[in-house]
Amino acid sequence: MSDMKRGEDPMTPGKTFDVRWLIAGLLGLYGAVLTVLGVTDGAAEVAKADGIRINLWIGLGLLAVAAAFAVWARLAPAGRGDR
Amino acid sequence: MTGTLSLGAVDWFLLAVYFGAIVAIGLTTKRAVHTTGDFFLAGRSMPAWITGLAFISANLGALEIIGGAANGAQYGAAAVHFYWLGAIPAMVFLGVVMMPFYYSTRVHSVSEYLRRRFNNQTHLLNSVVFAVAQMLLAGVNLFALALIVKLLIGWPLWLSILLSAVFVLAYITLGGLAGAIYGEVLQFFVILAGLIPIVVIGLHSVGGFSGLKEAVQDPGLLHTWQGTTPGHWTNPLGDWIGLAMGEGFVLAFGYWTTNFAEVQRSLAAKDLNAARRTPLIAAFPKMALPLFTVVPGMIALIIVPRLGKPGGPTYNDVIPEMMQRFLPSGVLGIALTGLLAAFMAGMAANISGFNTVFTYDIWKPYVVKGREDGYYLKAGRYATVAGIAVSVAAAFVASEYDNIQNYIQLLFSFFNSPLFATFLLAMFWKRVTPWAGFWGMLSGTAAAAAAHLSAYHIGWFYPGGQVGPHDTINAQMANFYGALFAFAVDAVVTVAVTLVTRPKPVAELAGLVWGLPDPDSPDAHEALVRQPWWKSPVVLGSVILTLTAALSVWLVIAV
Repeated sequence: MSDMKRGEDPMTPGKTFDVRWLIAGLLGLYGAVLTVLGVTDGAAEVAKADGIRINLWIGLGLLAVAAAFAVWARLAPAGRGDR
Repeated sequence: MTGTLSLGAVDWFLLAVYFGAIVAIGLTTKRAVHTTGDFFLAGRSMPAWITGLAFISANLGALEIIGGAANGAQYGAAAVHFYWLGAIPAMVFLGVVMMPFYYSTRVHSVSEYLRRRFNNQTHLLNSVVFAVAQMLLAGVNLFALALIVKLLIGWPLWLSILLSAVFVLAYITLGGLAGAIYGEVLQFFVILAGLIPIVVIGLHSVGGFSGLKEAVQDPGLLHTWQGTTPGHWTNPLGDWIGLAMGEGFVLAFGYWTTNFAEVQRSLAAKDLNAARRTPLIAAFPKMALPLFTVVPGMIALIIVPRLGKPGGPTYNDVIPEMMQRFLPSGVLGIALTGLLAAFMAGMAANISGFNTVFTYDIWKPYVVKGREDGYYLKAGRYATVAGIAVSVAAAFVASEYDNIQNYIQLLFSFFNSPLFATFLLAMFWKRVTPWAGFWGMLSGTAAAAAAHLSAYHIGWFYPGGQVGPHDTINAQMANFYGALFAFAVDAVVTVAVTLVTRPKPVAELAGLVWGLPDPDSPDAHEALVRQPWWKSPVVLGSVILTLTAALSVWLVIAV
């Protein structure tokens, strides 16, 4: 079973590619777009969401999650010390 | 829904960014795929939080989201049983008890476990059934996707079927299981970001949970365990025997512990501890999911006129209706992206399970044996293309049932429920013989089919206890009982055949059966490492079960 030894290979995906940066990037971009939309939303958009400025709140939430993943990926790089 | 969604440029932008990211995942992970181990098992290199999120996402296809909301509208609060009763105990059992049998024996698939524990016949039977079922399920996923896209955006069915098939093809044929897993992790966050606004605005519009409770007309829709007395049930999901034994035990354990499309995510974990924690980490979000599916379903009952009535929108329209009604441009784009991503993740899970079983369990051992690894890597990629082609064809076939989840569960009760009886006996009784596995499984599946066909003539499954000319059967309850019957038949046949046939030598069963540890286990060194409590599967599992039980009791008392 030679294919079982791959876990120690430095070329395995977990080592070359850290999905946490991808999560941080995508959610960060989504968060930024939504936050800007939320600030500029007119009365019609707010009324549609039953009076909640939903784009703003979800945008800020996404930015927070993105920041958390970026900090985690920075402090504990893949390959050592991850869960 | 009246008309399609009014999507702005920003919504299309958010959608395009996501699918760009998915293709990027495929291209990036392709560089790390050199062997079949990389392609089918992601090199067994993933940390537990990634495989855990992929584990939950593989079961968070849009079928489950749309179907979960439909169940919330149709059955009310009782639909939480599909999560707290029908998933979490089984996920804990998989992580705490069964995972070592899968991970430490280094099998590539659940089917391969059957080959080592039983014989080739049992193995082939299970592999073929699984492979065919996964292609059909992928087809059901595709068809459901196309229906939703038509409703939401107005595209013709064929266009969305082909487009999504191409995307799934791109990231799985390139990146293999790693591509699928990373896609699933990304999808998990996007679908939550899309569902949260629906729940928040929906609850706000009906006056929070207390407003929701007051506005629900039928008190039966607030009952979870109330009204489940056998013979006199009024609960929308029937009596407690069917619920606790059929759904909670047989169906749930059959699905979560033997369905390779799920277990495969754990096998990609970097070590045994991470593999065992995979379903446990997934159980925490699973616990919260009713909030994002069942609750919107119940809200929709109040705010969508004529929901589920003749001439009105169907229960499956809950999420689309709420999106159109509540979401402004921006969160609307994210919800749409999440829904489409969820469909593709569900399909990707089916297809990555299929290509592994087809290559490792059908092609390699029985058709073209003994070739070099590169050959099977190529075969796996061709199998992916062929599997997607078949599922595209299947997408146009199945649409006879009005509640998609009923159809899926029908399939499960035929194939999956007898399976758990076989695994339970196989793992805990070393005497069970190779042929007992084969005949047990086969008779269990036949029993499930027979139970389904005869249920319509049995008064027990009808409200009031009699088959009246105008009564409709409680289809869920009949499914639960059918699963229970299949389980019993499988167990009885397995034991009976065991008693008259020759068992495997104990030496061949090391690591495969409880109480027969493998002294050469590749994970033996892990037993010496003392894990902190928050990495202990037993501690995590106990915390999860306690929390779930507390939530269930709270729900009975509070509503």
